[in-house]
Amino acid sequence: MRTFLLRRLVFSAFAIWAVATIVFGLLQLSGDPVAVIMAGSFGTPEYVAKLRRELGLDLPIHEQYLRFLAGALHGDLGRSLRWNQPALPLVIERLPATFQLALAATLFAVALAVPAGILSATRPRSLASRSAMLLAFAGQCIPLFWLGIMLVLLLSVNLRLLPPGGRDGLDSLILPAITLGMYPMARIARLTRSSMLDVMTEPYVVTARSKGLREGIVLYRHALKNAAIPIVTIIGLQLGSMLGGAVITETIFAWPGVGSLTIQAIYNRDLPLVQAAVVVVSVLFIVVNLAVDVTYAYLDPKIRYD
Amino acid sequence: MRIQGVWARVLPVVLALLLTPLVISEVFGQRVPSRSITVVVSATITSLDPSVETHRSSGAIQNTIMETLAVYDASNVLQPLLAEKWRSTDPNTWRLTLKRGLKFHNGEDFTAESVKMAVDVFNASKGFAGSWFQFIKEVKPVDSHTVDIVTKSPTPILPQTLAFLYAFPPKYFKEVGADAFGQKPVGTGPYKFVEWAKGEYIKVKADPAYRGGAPKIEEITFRTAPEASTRVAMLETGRADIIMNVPPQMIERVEKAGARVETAQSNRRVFVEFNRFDPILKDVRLRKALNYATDVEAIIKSIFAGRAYRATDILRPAMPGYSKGNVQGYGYDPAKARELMKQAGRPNGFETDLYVGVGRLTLDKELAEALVGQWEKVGIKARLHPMEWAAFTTEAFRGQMPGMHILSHAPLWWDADFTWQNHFWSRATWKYAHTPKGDQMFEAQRTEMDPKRREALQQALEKYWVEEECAWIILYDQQDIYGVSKRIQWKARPDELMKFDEATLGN
Amino acid sequence: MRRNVGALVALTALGLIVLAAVLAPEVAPFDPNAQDLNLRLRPPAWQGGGSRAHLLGNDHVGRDILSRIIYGGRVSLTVGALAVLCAGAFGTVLGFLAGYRGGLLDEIIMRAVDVQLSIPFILLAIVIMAVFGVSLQNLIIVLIIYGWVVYARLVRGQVLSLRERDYVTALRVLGASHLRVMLRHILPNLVSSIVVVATLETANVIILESGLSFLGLGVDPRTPSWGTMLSDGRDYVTSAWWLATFPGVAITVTVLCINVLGDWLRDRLDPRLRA
Repeated sequence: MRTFLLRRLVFSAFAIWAVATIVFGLLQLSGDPVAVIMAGSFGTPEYVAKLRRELGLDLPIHEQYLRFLAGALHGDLGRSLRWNQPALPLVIERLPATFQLALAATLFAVALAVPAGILSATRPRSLASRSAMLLAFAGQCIPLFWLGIMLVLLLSVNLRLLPPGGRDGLDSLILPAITLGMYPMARIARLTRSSMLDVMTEPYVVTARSKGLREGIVLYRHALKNAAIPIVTIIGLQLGSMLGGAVITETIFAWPGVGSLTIQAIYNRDLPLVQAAVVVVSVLFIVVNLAVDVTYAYLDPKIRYD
Repeated sequence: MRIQGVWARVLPVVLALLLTPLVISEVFGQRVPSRSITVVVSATITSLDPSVETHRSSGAIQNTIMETLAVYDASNVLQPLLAEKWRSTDPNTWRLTLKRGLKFHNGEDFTAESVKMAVDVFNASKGFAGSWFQFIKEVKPVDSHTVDIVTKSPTPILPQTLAFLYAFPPKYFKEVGADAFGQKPVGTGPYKFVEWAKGEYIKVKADPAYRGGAPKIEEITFRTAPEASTRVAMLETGRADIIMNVPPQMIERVEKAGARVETAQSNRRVFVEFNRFDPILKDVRLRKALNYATDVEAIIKSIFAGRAYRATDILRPAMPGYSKGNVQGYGYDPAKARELMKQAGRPNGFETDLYVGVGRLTLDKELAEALVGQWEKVGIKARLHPMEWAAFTTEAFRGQMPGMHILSHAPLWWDADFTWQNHFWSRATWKYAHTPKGDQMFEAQRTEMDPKRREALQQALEKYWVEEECAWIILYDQQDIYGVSKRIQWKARPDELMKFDEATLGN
Repeated sequence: MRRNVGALVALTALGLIVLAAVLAPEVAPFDPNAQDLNLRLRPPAWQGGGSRAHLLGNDHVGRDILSRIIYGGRVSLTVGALAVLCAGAFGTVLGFLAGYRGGLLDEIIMRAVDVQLSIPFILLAIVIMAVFGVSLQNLIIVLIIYGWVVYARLVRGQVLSLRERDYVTALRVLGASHLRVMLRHILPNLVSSIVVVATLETANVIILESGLSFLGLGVDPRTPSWGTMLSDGRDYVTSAWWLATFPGVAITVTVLCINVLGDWLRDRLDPRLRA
C-alpha cells in the first residue's frame, strides 16, 4: 500500500509537470496574446514592443518556460494578462462554484442512472425500465446548449419555477446541474445496464440465486459490486471532466466556474491564466482518479496494483 | 482495504459543506429595495479600473463610479465634465481648468494632482489603454485646479481624449495600490461602490452628496450573462431590468414579456478591408468592382431585418471635418462591377479570400456568407475563412493576410485621427491600407492645430481613401439593441456605453 | 427474437442514411451551398410560410435544410466512424496493457491519461488547426487524441479485475500463454462495455464537432455537416427552431441505430464465448 501511494505521488507530480509543459508549448503555438490585446487599438510598433517586453513575452521561449517553472515551484503561476491579477487565486476563487455544480450534477446523474440501469437489466420489459432507458438514450444525443436553453425557457420563463441563470441561492443550482448531468446520466445508465447484464449470467450470481437468497441481496451484495467497476470508472471520468470543462453549462447559466474562466483565457491567449487553470484541473483529475482506483480495490479485494 | 465506513461518514459532511453557502444565501438573501434595478451585461468583469479593463460591459459600471475630464453626449458632441475649459496655450501645451469644490467618495479633494495621477496610471497599464496617452510628455499642475498638459508634438485631438481620462484619487490609490483599486474603486461619480461578489454581482449605490443631486435610481446591481438567450430570460422573468446585446431574432420574446427594446445607431461601423498589397486586389479597379458587386441594402433588409444603418463614409457626424456629401458611396451596380473587371483584364471573374474572426459581431458568419454569395453572382469566387478570433488577430497582425477581411471599428475619441491611426498608417496595427501619400496626409492632419485647415485635411484624407484608393467596402453601422423593463425610463447611447444618471423609475 | 427485428430495422435505417450520404448529389433536391436571401428562415413545408419545394425549411442565408442534412451526413458519419474506431482501438490496446501488465506500465499509461484529460480540448483543437490547418483530417485527429482516454480507463479497470479471476489463474497454471489468455478469455468480457461506450461516443463526437465549428474551428464552411448546422442554429432556437432541430434529429436517429446495432452485436458475441 505504501509503495503504491509513494509511486502514485511521484508519477502524479511528473504528470502535472508534463501537463504544464505541454500546455505551455501549445500556448506558444496558439497565437499572439499581444495581437489579441491590441486588436482594437492603434499602438505604434514601439508601444507594441514595449508591451511585449513588459509582459515578458519578448524573452526567448526557454527563458519564459524556466521563469514559469521557477515561479510555479513557489506557488506563483504568474499574472493574468487580461485580469492584471495573480493567476492562481483567480482559479482558486472559482473552485467552490465548480465543486458545487460538479457534485450536484453527478448526484443527479448517479441517482437516476444507476437505478435505471439496474432496473433495465433485471426487469427489461417493464414500463419503468423502458422509459428510463429512453430518457438515458435521449440524454446522450441532445446537444448541451439546446438542452440548457430549453430548460430555461420551459422551467424558468414559462413556468417561473427556477431562475434562468447566475449563481444565487440553491434553486439556481438545479437547472445547471440537470443540464450538465444529462449526458453523464445517459452514459452511466447504459453502462450500468450492460454491466449488470454481464454479471447476471455469471456463475456466482446463478449460484447465489439457487441458494435461495433474496433478490435484493443477490443484486446488491453480489451482482452490483462486481458490475460496479466500469460504472465507477465512468463516474470518475465524468466528475473529472466536469471539474475542468463544464464550459457550455457555465456559459448558458452564467455559472462562475473554472470552465468558463479557462475558455475565456484561451480565447484571449491569456497564457498565465490558462496555465494556472490547467495545473489546478490536473491536480483535481489526479485526485479523482486516485479515488477511483482506491474504490476499485474496495469493490474487488482481489485487485492488486503491483 | 476496507473503507466502507469512511465513505458513509465523510460524504454527507462534504456535501453539507459545499451546499450550505447556497442555502444560507437563499434564506438570508437581502431583500432588494424597490428603487433598485438590475442590469445584465454580456462580458465578464475583470477589473473596475478603467486603465485595466476597457470592455464596454465594464465601462457601464466604471462610469457610475468614476468620471472623466470631458464626456460625450448622446450625439457624440464633446462636453466638459470635470474639466470646465481647455485651450491650447502653445502648439505643444493644453491648459485645462478644472471644476472646483468636488470631492471623491472617500472625502479627498479633486485637484490637478488627480489628473497627473490619471496619466501615470494609464501609461503604466499593460494593456490596450496604455497606448492612449503615450502622446503626453508631461503633466504640470499649475495650481490646485489648473493643469498644463505638455505633448510630445502638436496634438489637436487632446480635448477628445479627455473623454477617456478618468479622475483617480491620488491618496486612496497610493494607499491601496493598483490591484486593490480595481476591486474597490473610488471616484467622483453619481454612484458609490458597494460590493463585488466575485462571479455573481457588483452593487453600486447612489451618492446623496453628488453635485448634481443624487441620481433617481437608488441602487444598481450588475450581473453578467454571456448567453443572449439567458439574458432575455432574465428580463422575461423579471430578474433583470436592463439587458444589453439583444440579438434581433429575440426581440419578439422581449416584447411578448411586456418589456421593450431601446435601440441606438452604434458608433461601430462594419466594413470589409482590402489587403491592397494582395497580388490581385492591388488593382484598384477590382476593389471598386467588389464594392459595386455588394448589395448592402439587401443584406441589411434580409439578414438584419432592417436593423442596421447603411454607411458609405469614414468621417461621422460631429467629427471635425465631417461634411455629408464629401464622398460618394459605391452603390449596388453589378453591371459596373463587370465593366471594371473587364477593364482590369478579368472579365470572367477571379478567386480571392475573405477572412472573418467569428464571435465578435452580430450575425458575422451570416454576413460573410451573404457577401460571398453576392460576389459569386458576378463571377468573383471568394474562399471563406472563418477563424477563431485570436487566431484571426494573430494572423492579421502579421500584415500578410491575403484578400480581404471583415472588421468593425468604433472610434473611441470622436475624431477621424483615431481611425486613420488604426488602419491607414504604415505604423498602424492594421497594416493593409497605407501609402506614402496617405502617411504624409495623416501626419499633416495629426499635428495641424488650426481647426479650419485641419477640417480640410480630414476631408481630403477621406476622399483619398474612399474614392481614390478604395481601401474598404464600407457596409453599415450596427444597431445596438437593449432590452428594458417597463418600469424604467432609460435611453441607449451610440457609443456602446450604458449610463444611468438620467434614468428614472416609473412610467 | 424481438431484438432481431429491432436490429434489422436499425440496420436498414442506417443503411439508408449512409446510402443517402454517399449518393447525396443525386438525392438532394438543391445545392447545399446555394444561398437566397429572399428565402431566409423559411419554415418547414407544413408550417405557415413554408413551401413544398423546401420540405424542411431554409436556414439563415436561405439554403435548403433538407439538402444540407443529406450532404451533412457525409461529414458527420465519416467523422463519427473514423474518430470512434481509431480512438477505440488505440484506447483499448493501451488500457489492456495497463491493466494486464500492471505495475510501472500501468502507472505510466494512466498518468498519460491524466495528462491528456487535463489538457483543454479546445486548446488542443485550436493549436492543431492553427499549426496544421483546418481540415476534416485534422479534426478527426483532434477527436482521436481527445477520445482514446475513455476506452483506456474503462478497459484497464475491468482487466485489473478480470485477470485475478480464478479461471485465469487456472489457465496460466495449465500453461496458456499470456496472449491466449488476453485474447480468448479476457477480451470477450470487455466487448460489451467497449461497444456501449463506442456507441455513446459516436454521438459525442458528432456534437463536439458542432462546438468546434461554433468557434470557427470546424470543417470548411463550404462543407455542410450536422455539427455545423447545429451550431448555426444555436441563436435561433426560439425563433427558427428548424435550423437546429433537424440536424439534431438526424444525429439522434443515426446514433439510435448505431446503439441498437451495438447492443445486437454485443448480444451475439457474448453467449458464444461463455465457455
